Amino acid sequence: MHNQISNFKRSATQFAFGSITLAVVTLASFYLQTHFAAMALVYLLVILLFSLIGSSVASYALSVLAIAALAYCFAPPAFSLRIDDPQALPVVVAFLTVSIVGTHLIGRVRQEREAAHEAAAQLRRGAADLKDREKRWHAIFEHNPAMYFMLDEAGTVLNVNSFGATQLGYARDELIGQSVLGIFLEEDRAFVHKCVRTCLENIGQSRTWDVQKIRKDGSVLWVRENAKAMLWADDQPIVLIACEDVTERKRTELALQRSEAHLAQAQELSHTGSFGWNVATGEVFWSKENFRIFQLDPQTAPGPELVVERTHPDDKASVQEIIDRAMRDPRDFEHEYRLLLPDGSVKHIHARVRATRTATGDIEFVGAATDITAARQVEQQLRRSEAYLAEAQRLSHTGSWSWDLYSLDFVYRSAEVDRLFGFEPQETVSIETIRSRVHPDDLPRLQEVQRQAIEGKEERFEYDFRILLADGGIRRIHSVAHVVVGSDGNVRELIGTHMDVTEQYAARERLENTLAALRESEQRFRDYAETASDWLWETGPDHQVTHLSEHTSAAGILATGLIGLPRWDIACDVEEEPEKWRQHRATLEAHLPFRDLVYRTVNRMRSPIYVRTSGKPFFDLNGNFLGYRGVSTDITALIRGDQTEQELRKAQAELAHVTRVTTLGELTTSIAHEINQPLAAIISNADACLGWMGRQTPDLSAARCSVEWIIEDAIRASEVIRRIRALAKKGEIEMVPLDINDVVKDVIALVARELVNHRVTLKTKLTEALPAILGDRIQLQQVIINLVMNGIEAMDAVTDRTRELVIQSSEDGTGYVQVTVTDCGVGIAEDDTDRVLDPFFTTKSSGLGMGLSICRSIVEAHAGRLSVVRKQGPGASFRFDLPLHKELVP
Amino acid sequence: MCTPLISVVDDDASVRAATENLLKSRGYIVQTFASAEDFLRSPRLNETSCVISDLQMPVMSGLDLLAEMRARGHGVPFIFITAFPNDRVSTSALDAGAIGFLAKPFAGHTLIECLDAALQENRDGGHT
Repeated sequence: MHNQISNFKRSATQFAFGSITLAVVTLASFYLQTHFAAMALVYLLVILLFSLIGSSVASYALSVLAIAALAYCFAPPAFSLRIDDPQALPVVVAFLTVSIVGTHLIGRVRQEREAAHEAAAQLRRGAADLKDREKRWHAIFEHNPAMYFMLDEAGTVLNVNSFGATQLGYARDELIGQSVLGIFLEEDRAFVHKCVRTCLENIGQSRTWDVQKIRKDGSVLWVRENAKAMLWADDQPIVLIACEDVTERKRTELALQRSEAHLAQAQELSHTGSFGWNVATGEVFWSKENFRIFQLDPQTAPGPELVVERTHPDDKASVQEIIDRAMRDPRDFEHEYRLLLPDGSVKHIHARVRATRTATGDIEFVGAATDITAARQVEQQLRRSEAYLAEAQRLSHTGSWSWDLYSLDFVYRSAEVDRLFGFEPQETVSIETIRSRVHPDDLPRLQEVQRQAIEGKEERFEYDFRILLADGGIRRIHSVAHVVVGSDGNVRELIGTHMDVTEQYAARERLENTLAALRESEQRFRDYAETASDWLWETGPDHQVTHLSEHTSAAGILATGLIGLPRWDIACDVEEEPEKWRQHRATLEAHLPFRDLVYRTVNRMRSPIYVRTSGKPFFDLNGNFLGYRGVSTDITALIRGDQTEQELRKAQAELAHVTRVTTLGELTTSIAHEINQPLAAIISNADACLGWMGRQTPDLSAARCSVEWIIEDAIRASEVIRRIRALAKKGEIEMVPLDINDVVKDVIALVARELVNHRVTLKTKLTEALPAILGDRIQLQQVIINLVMNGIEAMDAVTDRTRELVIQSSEDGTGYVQVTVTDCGVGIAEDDTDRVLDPFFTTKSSGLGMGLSICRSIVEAHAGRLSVVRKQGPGASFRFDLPLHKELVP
Repeated sequence: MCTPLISVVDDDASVRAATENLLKSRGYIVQTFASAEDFLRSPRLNETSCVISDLQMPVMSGLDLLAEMRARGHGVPFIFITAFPNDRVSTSALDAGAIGFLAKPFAGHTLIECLDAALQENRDGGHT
């Protein structure tokens, strides 16, 4: 349209100017009276000239106009369009022909030239465009944040963009011409080679793969490669590769994978499942561990109702309430409840839930459910441990207390104190009440000891007193106490223990009685033994006594009127021991000899005596049975002696047990400490474990470490309990092969805190790999504890030197191992050295004097020896030797 | 002072390790000492923000340590822990200026709360 308008304008202009020119030429020629043919030539020139301008149509119009002007002005008759001159006509025709043909030709030529111009301009524009585009593409190629590689068929780098080269730490020139495999990890090269080959086999198809590239500096980056093979101008295939650095993404992916794996492991390890619950949409997510805790198939659709379903019937209401409340009022919450699982087991669950807001503004609960069954069990065990501790006080009949001297009231008193005095647990006890319970004979002395202790600010003092029981009985108490000095320098408080030693006194009394009986019995036995008490007897065929040879010393013993009685009527134990007499009568009926039948009968004083008898049948010449002849011995003294000895052993064992339990009482404070330490460590480590787990990135190894420590400390606590129970147990003596060093180490574990409290340094010099001895572990422990406690006590007064206790073990090559306990305390007076090991010898106000005596009897029962070692410098040294095991059991 | 340095003094190795573990799990920096004497010899004595110490220790007790520190002009807060507590010891510890007194075994969060209170006070009180 635009073109047509411009054509028309051009044609109009051409026509207008052409007409004007023709008019001017006509006027000029008219004036000059130019010849008709010449005029035609002039017109033709004008028309051809104007036809150069453009439009053919205008030229034709001008031709017509020129012909009209020619005919009108120059062909006769003038001023008429008619042409009469026959010569003029061919001129007009020629004019027209030349004008039209010429104009046409000129138009053609001009059009062609214009077309050529146009084409040339287009060509120029195209070239500029191309150049521009190439520049742009080059910039894109060079600076696009992607690495571009161009490879030939052999994998040689034809081109690489600067970005790509820089990313890999190379200059472009260093890469071009090299094999592309050089920038891949050794192990990936085969893979890359294969990928490139595949591209080459499928020209035009794009392929993508992830692979690692190595930088010049050796560092590695992950890239995603997009490659395509295409044919180059000379039909040579090339491969174009664009690479995107995905290191960060890969790292994030790997970190995510690792983090997920860690989390799953952490969850499994800590028995903690996690869950999410979008209240608005009802969407619920459960972790794998959560399904495991609830013992549900991971395919199950999870939800709060499942939790309720699994909850223990007793806890269902509370769980339902928590869920309902959470829906009404979305807030963080914590809850502990139990599950009842299909296999009948019960699990304790601790749930911690946080209310968060999602991106869409919904409330979402995110939480963790921890299986704390094990922790609950540990807790129960701890409670039991504490109960054991109370049990230890009860077993050892030792109460602990603290008395405020200002308010004259107990600051603290243990349940055992209440039991000893007969107080009600919550009763307020006045000093008058206490005094009323103390035996009046003991009260003045008790008050005096306390007064002195307070005046002298004594670190340790002891006293004994008796408590009058409501039933009229008496309880004997041994008390050990120390004073507490306040900041004003005055004694504010007394702290101490009351130990019920009634049993010890009773045991001691029994022992004294038994010893006296034994001494008497021994004397009698000696007397009897000096004068043998045999006599002869004879019985007839019916086993009735026919003859009795009254021996000198037996004469006074046997009952009279025995002649004529059958043997079994003489004895008094026929009914008690029917089996013995049945066998004996069978022997008699069979007329067989018998030996050493022991029976009981009575003497003349009707007191029971024991008789040992042996007999043999005698026959006449024809072999007819006539009766028995035999001898008898009075063995009453012997039997009585055995019985007394048994009683003595029993009393000794009882006393040993009582002493052991007493020692335990003395150790009560230390034991409490020894149990509380591992308990503290257990709780701290458990809390730490939760802390490590609860971190944003759970620290698995630290958590695991914490759990391992918990186990170690729990074992440690239970070991202490085991030792206490073993010591308190009134068991049979069990002789087993022992490493004496183990026994020593067991004791050290029990007295360690006692050493610290008395500021005593312990040194052990244990000879490794000692041969085994045969012994009772608990009894030997008791010996060592006794020696150690004596040592500690002996050093209480020492202030001018380090309180050092040394325990040594050794072997002397004579078939014995030795244990020596040495202190640097007050030592033993020269006069007492020989007596310290005797029963009832004591230098202490309260002691029974049985400790070392019991030690000695235990060591001697082990075929060993306890002795006091003379030592240089202050203090005392006790040593016991025990024979090696191989000598006891050859 | 960014993360406070906590010094733990306890002669019981497992309690020492457990306390350190607990505090580390909560992000504190911890150094431990088996005795009061070791602690007093520590080159980082001045950097300590809080001391958690056992009461009963051989040679130098927790109270002795507190007295020694105060004598040297250190106002650092003290928290005592003990496995043999009684009211009297508790009172004398608090009288001597301890911030906290915990009986072993104690719950982890009790120690953390006590510690946080101590650190807060230390910060507010502007002790040296």
